[in-house]
Amino acid sequence: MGVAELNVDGGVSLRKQRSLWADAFRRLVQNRAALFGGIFIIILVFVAIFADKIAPYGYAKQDLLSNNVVAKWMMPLMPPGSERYVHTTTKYILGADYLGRDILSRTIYGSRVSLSIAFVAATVSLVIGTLYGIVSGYLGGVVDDLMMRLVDFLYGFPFLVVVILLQTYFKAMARRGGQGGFGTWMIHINQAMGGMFFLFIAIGLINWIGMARIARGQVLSYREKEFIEAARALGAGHSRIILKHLLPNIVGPLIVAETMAIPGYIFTEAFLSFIGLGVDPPTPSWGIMISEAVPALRSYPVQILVPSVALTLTTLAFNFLGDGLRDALDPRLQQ
Amino acid sequence: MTKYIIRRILWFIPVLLTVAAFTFFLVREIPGGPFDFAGDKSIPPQVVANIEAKYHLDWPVHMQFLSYLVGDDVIAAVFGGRYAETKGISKGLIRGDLGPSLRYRSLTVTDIVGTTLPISTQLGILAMMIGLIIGIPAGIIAALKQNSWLDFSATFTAVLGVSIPNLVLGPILIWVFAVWLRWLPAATWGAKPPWILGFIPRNLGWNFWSHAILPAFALGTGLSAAIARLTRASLLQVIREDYIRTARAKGLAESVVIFRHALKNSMIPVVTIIGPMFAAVVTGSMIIEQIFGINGMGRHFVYSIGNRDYPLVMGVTLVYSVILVIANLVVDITYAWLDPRIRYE
Repeated sequence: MGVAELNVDGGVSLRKQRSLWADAFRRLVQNRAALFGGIFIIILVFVAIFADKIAPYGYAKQDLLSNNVVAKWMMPLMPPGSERYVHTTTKYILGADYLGRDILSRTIYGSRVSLSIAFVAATVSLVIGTLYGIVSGYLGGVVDDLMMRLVDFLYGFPFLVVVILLQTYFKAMARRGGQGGFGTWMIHINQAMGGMFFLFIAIGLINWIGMARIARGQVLSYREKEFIEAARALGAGHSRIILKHLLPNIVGPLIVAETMAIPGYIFTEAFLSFIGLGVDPPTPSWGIMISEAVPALRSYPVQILVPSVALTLTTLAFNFLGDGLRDALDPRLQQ
Repeated sequence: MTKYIIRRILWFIPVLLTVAAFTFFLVREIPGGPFDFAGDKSIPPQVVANIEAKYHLDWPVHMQFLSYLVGDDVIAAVFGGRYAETKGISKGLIRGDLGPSLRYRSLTVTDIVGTTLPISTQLGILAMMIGLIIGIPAGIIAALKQNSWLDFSATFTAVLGVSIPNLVLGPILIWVFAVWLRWLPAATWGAKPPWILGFIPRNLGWNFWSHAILPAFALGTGLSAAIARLTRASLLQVIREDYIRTARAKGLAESVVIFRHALKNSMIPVVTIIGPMFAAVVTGSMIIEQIFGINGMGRHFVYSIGNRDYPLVMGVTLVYSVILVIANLVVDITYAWLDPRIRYE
């Protein structure tokens, strides 16, 4: 498709038409912070996928003679007077933890947990929330009223308490083992994933609510627009209107909101792992690594550094990307 | 307005009842009980049964819930029979009794909440003040000087601030200021009861502040970053509105345009997040309390569930929910003040 354009000399030339998405992508790439965020996340995805190839050691491999060793180059970061008790090493680039496990390898493997939570919880909440919001907004009337009352109600719930309750419940169930059937099947899946499956459920189950509100608001603002009316006048069915006309228009703000919510999911996982309700040991997660390093904060502060930097850079990248996406899809905010 | 507030307060009752019921039944669904001790600490099953009977854990769950709400003396009087056999343990929620703690058995839940909540509230209010005092001015300046270096550095700092979790910031602050520089203590809280008005420490000396600075900043930095981002985005949207152009066209001074006309309206989304933020922060952040060894209420959200200390779970959840619904009501009332077009009838 091209757009006919009148030249100065009266001839007609064809200019390549740019779609909304191509335009948005161009603006996104021009935003350096967003570009950094995007590239960082792509690299991290590859690190997570090929963790077993990249990591120098296994994440659970213990070297009991080198517990709490500190990498030689990190000594300037240690508190004054620590030379008296610290053993240094050059074998482990970032040192080893209190069980003699390589910190670098555990951090690399830990990216798997954070990224899986980010993408799975985001997808789950995006799909459920969008469906719920579209149905509620499109149908309107009593159905909309009821569905939104439910959302309002869930919104008032102490989110953190519910997540802790759900995780405690899942963990206790997993310890007891299921009584056969569906429960056992889920517990097996969870074990195979190092405890992540139940985390997906607990986090995804709660976060679709915000998404549903945004989706409904968007549907309401488009539902009465002329182009929807035109589509209806031409005889388009409900499913066609929703899929072809509504969805493409509302998906932008939803993706932006979801990207902005991802740091929250990563925090929740880190938090749950920190209090012992996250993934099952020895699966490494940055939250677990931080919580294991806190008791040794006075004597071995460098142990907390690596997972902390990894966690912060990852959430920073998602925040930059989310901001960039928002600006790219809504250019009105730029002057 | 008064009518609206009364209606909202009445609406609290079903909301809180549902939260209470949901928590009550869900926490009892979790396998394992408060008196399941394994290994060396195990107790003969008959003894466990006796302790459980004392706390009425042998009653049907819905009867336990009823008795939690109205008190077991009422249940005994109405239903009689087995419900009148044991001594009462709680006068019920409606009479302000949160029941006994099953883990700390010399204490009631009211005792625990009473000693830990004020500490969490002190910390939370300090953190909230840091959030507002840094966040709102930073957001305003960034928006007014959009695309200047001031804006870029403020925006960048704010994104950095929301990206560093408490989990990371807390230990790093301890490492730098307590372990390395040795300027401030690494842990514990510097104030003791009795409190003025229930939560203000009596002696606001250096001992209090030196202990409070690190945790308050660890908790407040994220808040200020989030508030700054939202203030900036919201103010940017508002200063493009027609009525701001009108105000400028009338020849009003720029400071009047911004502070009298733009700022008030731009605060609506900010106030919206401050409500839940406030509720979460004054009831205690378990991470910060854990890292800094502060005896606040936040840690009981986690440990009470792990210990299956049913009444304590109920107590902290209800305290949190009450503060949350009140904070949200205050937010809604503030809307009407910020934007006079919003009226509640």
